Amino acid sequence: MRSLILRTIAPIVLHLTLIFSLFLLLYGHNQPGGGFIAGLMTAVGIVLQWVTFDADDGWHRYNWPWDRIFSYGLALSACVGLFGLLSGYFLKGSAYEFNLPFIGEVEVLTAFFFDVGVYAVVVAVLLSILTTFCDRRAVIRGAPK
Amino acid sequence: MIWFLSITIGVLVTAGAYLAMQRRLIQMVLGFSLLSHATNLMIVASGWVGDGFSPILRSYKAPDPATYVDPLPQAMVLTAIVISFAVTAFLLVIALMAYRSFETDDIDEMRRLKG
Amino acid sequence: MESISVAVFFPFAVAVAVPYFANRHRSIAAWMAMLAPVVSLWALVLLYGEWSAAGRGALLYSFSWVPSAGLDVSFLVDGLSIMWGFLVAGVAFLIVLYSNFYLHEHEDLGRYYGWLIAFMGSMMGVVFADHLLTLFISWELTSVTSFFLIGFWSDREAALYGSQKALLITGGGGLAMLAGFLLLGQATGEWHLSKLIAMSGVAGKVSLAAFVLIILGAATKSAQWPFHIWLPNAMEAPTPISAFLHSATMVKAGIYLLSRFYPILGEHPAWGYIVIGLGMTTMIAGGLLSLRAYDLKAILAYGTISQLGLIVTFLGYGGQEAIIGSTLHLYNHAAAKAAMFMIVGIIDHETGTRDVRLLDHLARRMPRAHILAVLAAISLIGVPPMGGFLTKEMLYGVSIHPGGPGEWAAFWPWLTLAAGIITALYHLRFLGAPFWTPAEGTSPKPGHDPSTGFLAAPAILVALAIAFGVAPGLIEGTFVAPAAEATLGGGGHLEFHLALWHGVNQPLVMSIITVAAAGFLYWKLDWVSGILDAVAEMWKKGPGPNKAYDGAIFILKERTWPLLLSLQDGNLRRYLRWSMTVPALLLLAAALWLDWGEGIWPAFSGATFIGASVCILISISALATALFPGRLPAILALGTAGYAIASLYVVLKAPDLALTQIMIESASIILFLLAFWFLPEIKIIPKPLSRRARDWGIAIFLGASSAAGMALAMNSHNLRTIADYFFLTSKPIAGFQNVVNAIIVDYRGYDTLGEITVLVISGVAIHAMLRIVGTMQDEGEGH
Repeated sequence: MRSLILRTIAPIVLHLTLIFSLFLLLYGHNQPGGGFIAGLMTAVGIVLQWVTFDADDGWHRYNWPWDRIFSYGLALSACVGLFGLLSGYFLKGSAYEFNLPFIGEVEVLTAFFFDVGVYAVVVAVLLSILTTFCDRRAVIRGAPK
Repeated sequence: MIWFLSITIGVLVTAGAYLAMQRRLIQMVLGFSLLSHATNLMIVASGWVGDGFSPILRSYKAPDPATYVDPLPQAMVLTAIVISFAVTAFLLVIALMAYRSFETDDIDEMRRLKG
Repeated sequence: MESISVAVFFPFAVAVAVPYFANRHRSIAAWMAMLAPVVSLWALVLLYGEWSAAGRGALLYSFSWVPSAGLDVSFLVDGLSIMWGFLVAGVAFLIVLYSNFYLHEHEDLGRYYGWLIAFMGSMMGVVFADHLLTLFISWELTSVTSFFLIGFWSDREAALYGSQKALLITGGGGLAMLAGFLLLGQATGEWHLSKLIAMSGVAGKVSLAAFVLIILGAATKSAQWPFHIWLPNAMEAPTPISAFLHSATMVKAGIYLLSRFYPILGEHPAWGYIVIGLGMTTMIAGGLLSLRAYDLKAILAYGTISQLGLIVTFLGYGGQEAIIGSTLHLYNHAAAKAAMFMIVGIIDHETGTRDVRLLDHLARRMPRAHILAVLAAISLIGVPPMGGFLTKEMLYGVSIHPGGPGEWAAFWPWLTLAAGIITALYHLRFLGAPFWTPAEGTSPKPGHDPSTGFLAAPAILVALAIAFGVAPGLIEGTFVAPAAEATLGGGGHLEFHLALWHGVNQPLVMSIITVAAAGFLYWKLDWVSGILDAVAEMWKKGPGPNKAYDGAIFILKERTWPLLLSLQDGNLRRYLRWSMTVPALLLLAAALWLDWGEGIWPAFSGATFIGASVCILISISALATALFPGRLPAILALGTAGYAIASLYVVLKAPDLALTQIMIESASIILFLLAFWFLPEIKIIPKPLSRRARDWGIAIFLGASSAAGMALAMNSHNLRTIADYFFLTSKPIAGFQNVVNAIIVDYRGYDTLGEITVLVISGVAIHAMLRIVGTMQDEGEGH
């Protein structure tokens, strides 16, 4: 992409997108948002970034081990479920209140960590699918146009 | 409004079903995409009440459930939307692999080639 | 609690473990497998103690399994099931001991012992099950495991035929039995055997259909005529398997079922006629067929069928004496028949053949095996002092004073006597043909007595057969009496005394006649064979159970092709057309069923400007997706539809969905663009107008009926989901203000966990297909 304006703005937009998605993740229990939406927002932000720079090769910069990340995400959510076993049954949600210095009362829901797992899975699966498609071009190029 | 929604869903189903019955793999994938839109819309619409609020509580104490739309279909559809993306991606991959193997994306032609 | 679980479940654990170890350390395979019967026997001994301490009534052990469906796993421990448990585990022990000598080193020991022990576990399940469905499941497990055992030598055509036949007939009978159980449960409202036994007048409530179906289950398993045909074919199994299946377990499961249901259904008016009829026919038919067989195992197989007929006949007569007789005969037959099968296995092993025409005066070369065979056979002929003499006497006694249907009372003793003579005759032939008479040909190996270890298992069994006759007191009070009490319904203690000598009475005379007549007929055996051959020759063209079975299988296998091909022709789009038309018809039927009355259709009102215009936009872009010829316009139209649907979600008060939809749509467009980069341009293939009209017709039909169904559904808001509960508890319990997210991550966290698992699976699948399979194909093609 040759546009100078777009190339200047794109990193700023990416950071704004990431901050906004973090906001969506944290406030999901009271406002529209949550792990699914925040994950999608992050993934789409990254994808737009690479489309902006170079549709052909931009994805290389984001060719992270997504397959491992989504496994960890799933494991995290499952572990939260197992944690619920301690207080009763699988996936039982519980709330803990902490009094942190400077911040004050903070309520932490175990469901939040479950949501973080969902977030990781959604981001990683989306990006894994899209990077895989890009990556396979070398293979698929063999097919007739 | 009910009729508008129903007819929209009907049109989505019609277009999706027609595409799904075509011979080209691409058309089939597009068709299934439209059909999943229709299904999601159907489920959400079933929980809709004309003048209800969106299901985000306005007051902490003693909310009146009758003034909100039904949140359960929304919750189910939210995950369904994400999954339908994954399914579409999967269908596309299958289409690609089939195209690589048979060098055609016409399913009747594939049957003929497979013998 | 523990001992019963160990007795039933431990064999399964061993069955799973054995294949892992057996093929690596072949020498320990048999010893590992032996763990199962030994531990089960030990558990049964403990259980026997518990049961005796509890007063020898019916003990119930139950575990809840699916409490919401009212299903539980419960075990019924009474005299009958304890006796059967010992019988099964005890014979299993001897079979494993014997298998160790019989099997060649190179056989797949893991598979053999694994299925053998799993079969033993299933049998334990059958005899201890209390719930009718648990009984059914164990019952079918025995059919399935025996299928693998009979077909153990899977490279032999005949073994495959035999195992399939056994599975189809006994499994099919099991299904009939399930139907019978369901009718029984419906009629009485009770599913536990223990409660059914305690209930009075069950037989009066049960329909003839239910009765016949349950008996059918028992008859197929116990190889009663005309379902006996699977048993001779099942002789393709390794001989220890035959000994196990056909002496104490598989075929006896039917007997167990009849004994178990005797207190429940014994009062049924059809019991006497059907059960005695089955038993008598089977006893005589089995005996006659045995006389015509030349394979030693076939002789025994038909003999087994005949003996099962004898036990069924006992149960059919009913009454105290008959039940005691049948119980005792179970032991006699299990011991003697298992020993005979084992001796046949030894003959086969040492001479290389089982064909009696090739075996020449084996008594001279295998004296020790000969003695064991004679003792086992005369037990079943009914010669003192063997245990079989006792039961044969009892059968004759019962037949003189039958408890069953009175009309044919005068007829029974004669029929029973005839059956007894035939039984004696085929046992004499079993001894005579291989051991005493010269051969027509020569056997592959001359044969000699095997090692003592090989003879140990049959010797133990023969010793038991003698013990049952000489000292019936050994098992009389401990096993026979409690089992007979339980079979009779569990009321009161039985006082009886078994003894060999009752003085000179009618049964003794009948016994003497039997032995004398059998001896005479054996002397004139050529004459008997001549008659039988002539009858068989005449009947060659006539119908028979085997012909019916083969015909049915032929029709199922070959004649169903046209039907199959017309339904499953491989045309994907034809399947799709069907799967779209049928739901459309169903929706239409539902709409019609709702009655086209007043007020069920919504009014044409209440549309907001924004809502209406978004709906119109969605419709236009959906149709455009279907109609645009190129791929890029189609993707863009689809994307437009997706974004418009996102705005419709806003109208429908679903902000979370709108956000999700927008983001997914963006990702989808990119995905489609990436994928279409590699796919060819859509070339619209010209189709005849009629085909297009048909496709549009189906699509519009489905669309219209969905729209109508949707309109009806949305207009009936009397359906309230559990939403109220979510609203009231979302903040105080889950801590969420956004109820949709509360449902996703908290209330229905299980679903969400499942859904992200689906996401992960699709991610892995796509990864695997493109990165791994794609690369492998390319390397394979060599670029």
